[in-house]
Amino acid sequence: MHVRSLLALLALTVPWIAAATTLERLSLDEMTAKATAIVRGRVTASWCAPRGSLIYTHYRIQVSERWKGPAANEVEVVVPGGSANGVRQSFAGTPKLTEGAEYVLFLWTGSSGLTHILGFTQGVFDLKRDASGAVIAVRAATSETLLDPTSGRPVNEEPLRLKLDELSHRVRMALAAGRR
Amino acid sequence: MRIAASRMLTSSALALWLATSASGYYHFVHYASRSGPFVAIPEKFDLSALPNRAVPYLISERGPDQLAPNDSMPGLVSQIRLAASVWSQVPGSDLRLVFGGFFSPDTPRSTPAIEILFDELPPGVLAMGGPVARAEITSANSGAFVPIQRSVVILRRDLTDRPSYSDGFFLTLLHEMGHALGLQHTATSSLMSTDVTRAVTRGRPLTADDIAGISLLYPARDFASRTGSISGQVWMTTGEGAALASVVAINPGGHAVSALTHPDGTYRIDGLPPGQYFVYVHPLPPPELGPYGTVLPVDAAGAPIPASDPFDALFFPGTRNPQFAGTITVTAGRVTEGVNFRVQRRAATYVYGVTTYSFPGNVAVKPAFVNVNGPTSRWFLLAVSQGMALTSGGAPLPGLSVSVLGGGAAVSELRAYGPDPRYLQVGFTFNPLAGPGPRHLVFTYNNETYLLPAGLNVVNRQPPFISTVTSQVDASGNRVAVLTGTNLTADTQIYFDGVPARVRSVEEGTMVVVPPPAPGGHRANVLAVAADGQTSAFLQGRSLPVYEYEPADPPAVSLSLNALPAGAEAMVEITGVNTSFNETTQLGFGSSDVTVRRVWVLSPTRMLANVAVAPNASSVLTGLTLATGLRYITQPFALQIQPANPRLPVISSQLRDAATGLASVYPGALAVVSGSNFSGSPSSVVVTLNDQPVPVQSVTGNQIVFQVPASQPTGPAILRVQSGGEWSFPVVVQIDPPPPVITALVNASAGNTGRAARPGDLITLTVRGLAEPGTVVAPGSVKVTVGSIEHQALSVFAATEPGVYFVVFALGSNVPSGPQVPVTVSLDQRVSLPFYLPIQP
Repeated sequence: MHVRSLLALLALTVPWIAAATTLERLSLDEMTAKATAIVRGRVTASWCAPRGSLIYTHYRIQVSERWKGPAANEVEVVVPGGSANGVRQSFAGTPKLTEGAEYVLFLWTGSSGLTHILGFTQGVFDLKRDASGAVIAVRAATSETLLDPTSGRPVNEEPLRLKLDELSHRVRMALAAGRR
Repeated sequence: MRIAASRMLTSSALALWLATSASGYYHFVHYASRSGPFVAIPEKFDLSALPNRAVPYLISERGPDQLAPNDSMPGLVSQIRLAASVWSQVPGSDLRLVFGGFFSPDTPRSTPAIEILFDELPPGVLAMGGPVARAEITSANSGAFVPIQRSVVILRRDLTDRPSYSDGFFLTLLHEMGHALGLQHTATSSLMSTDVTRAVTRGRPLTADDIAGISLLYPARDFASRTGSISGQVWMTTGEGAALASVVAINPGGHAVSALTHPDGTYRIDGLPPGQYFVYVHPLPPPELGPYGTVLPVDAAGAPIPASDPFDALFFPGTRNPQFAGTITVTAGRVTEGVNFRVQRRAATYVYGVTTYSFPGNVAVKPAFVNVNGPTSRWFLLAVSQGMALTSGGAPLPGLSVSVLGGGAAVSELRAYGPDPRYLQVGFTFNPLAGPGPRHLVFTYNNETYLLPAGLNVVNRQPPFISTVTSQVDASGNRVAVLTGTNLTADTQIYFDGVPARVRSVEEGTMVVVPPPAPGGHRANVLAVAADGQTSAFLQGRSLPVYEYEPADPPAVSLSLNALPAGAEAMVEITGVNTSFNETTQLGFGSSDVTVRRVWVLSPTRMLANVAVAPNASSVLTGLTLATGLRYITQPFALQIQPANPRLPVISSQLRDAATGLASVYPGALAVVSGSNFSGSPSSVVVTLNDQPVPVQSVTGNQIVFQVPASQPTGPAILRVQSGGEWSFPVVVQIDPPPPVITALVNASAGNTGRAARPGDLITLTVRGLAEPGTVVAPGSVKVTVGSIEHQALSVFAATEPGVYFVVFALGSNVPSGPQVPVTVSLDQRVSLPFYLPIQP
């Protein structure tokens, strides 16, 4: 294939864009404390919209359980990246939710009023059923770990896969400990 | 036993066409199709389309909402400028980043740039960065690429937990800038590795892999001739090529350079400094296989091309045991071919992403540095893996072993770390004859091998430590800072926030430095950086000593010009009050469409700058930012961009010598000024230098040739052109001393044989006018070009005749041969006319 025709083909892919993210590992206790809301819910819709020079994907979540935060049947969360006005932006390290799928989400609402997923991939637990029918919460691996630089002590490692009941229990324990 | 594998390999001359060498480095890659042959098409800034071939970076005027104690906006800006300077000074790369000042994200711009933004990021997210807009694919001599039009670096708006003076913030900023320039994550413990394995410090922020990665995107002219390459292919044992396998060339006492394989398993590692290397291949760690760590290459339809299944890591020539690995010899300007691998698929990898820590003091330091002259009780590091636990039941994981690649250090002990047994404690003994530098750790577990480049950094002294910083006045009445502490030596660099301080004197435990300019009352965090890469933060963490500046009146500036049409260039005179302009002063107009071409600092309160506006710039009002040291001055509404004026003669400040075409003119030379809207004959065009008319030789639509008077003093001069009854804006032009002249050439290696020169010969040039008589010329500043191959001068010394110098260099192995090969010598921008030399192959 000639270079010219290669270039013509490739020109079709111009909107493909990529970037990357630096994450900081948070323990489950820290995530529970820093989250403004923790919900179990299902993605019912998603769409993209620009905000400043960035494109965000918005997800509407139908809430079935709320472990922390104000009561609401629905919540809208945003994740950097997506397609709008013929341009696609993609940030390595950001989670991608699937419409119809069910999750436990650790959420954080900032002063802008936008609700983000706390720690990006760290704040997303996929819900699946195991062979026994129990609901399992699975978190995708991230590529960050930290040792507390002042104490030299490690940040707690978290399991990536646990039963939903166990996750719920640990979150409620952490919330209770935080209230004491 | 080591196999002299290099002897079995063939080498071939390196083609200067780098399209195929945009090999498989960790760039954002496109492929023309999903079938081979594969040529990576990377995303990068198009330097040839940028003013001054430089990438502007702009800082959002909406800065962070909150800062950590002792942090400040001037300190933060200084760290951003420092990070930009790191990427601007990469040996082997032409890339330059230029300060564009504070900008409003709402201001339209047409010229590509990097935007530094402060945005709301949720807890757990430190920063983001990368290209966010690009143009269509462009073809160039160096190969096809995708021009980046806009990149972003997004930092947190709340920096309470992340002070800008911390090493963590600086390295994250530098890392994200790397993404913005077109680099992805690597697995070689480089700056561009994720924070898990990154083994760089503020003192040594870039490794050979970072240098190769950025130099491949933005190569300097001599990059290919100064480095070598390794190529080959990686197949699965089942026959198909292994896609996105990471192939690493690693020097046992140095750093690693890597490349990813193409979808068919072919690869080429470029940018290798000459030397001996082990070569190994490993799969990307699991998080990197998906969308979380690495953006996968895409085909012509934009569909990602996935990595192959995991496989067993393998050393060349086909061994899992590094003790049986062979070394490859890399020669400058050549490709060592045929470094192939056949790898065994495996279900999963378990050992990867190992992070190491050490304890030079009471603070855990990452990456791990061990002082071989320190107490043996500290000759250990802690390791933890992203994949699986390295310990079990309070002991090292059964079946796990750790060793050091290539000797120099040996593992003496493995045990679970007492205070937290989830960490593996690795003890070492050291070969007293081995020098300092990185050591690479090899982890084996059952049949799995994982290599962690620079998992351990050997040093021979403790990190610097600053006990006190006090402000004093010297005998001349100048303010100095006196530092006391330990390991403060002549090669220690002192930073006030992100600005290096000039060292006045160093004595045992005491250092006197000149504080850089800063706002009155500013509190600067003072950091010491040792030549071995250690910093005082290794011992002092974030509790750095603070230098407090005296109160001072706020500075102010005024500009001689407040409006400029699109497409025009003009001299702007900047006059300051309470300012301290110096050679480090930078200014930007908050838009990549307004370029500061060059600055002349005439005094601490007066400077001249040539400012150019892009032809297609929108009519907007821009603000000025002027930065010197830790001080920056902002002046909103400083420059109004106006619509282009079709009658206005527009001139460029970059004159060229009419005889040589070089960008340097001198008294008596014929100079070419380029521009637009020139009309009429030479007699109807007026050119003035410092308001004195000069002879005009010829005029075309976009060029005027004029005579620089022989009596013209060297230095800056103000040039104006009148054409069609209209005067151009004035610009400052630089009149250089006459170029050096090579008057003789002696080939000491040939002696009196009369033979033509050949590679390796030691040659002495006699050069007149290289520098002012009496000047000591550093060999590192003088370049000799033979054909198109640049050589560094080995020595430069003055002859007895005033103004005449001898320049000695060794003829490189890759120079072209021929009866008349041109040789030139250059110092700064001044290049001699060629002297011709016969060279035999």
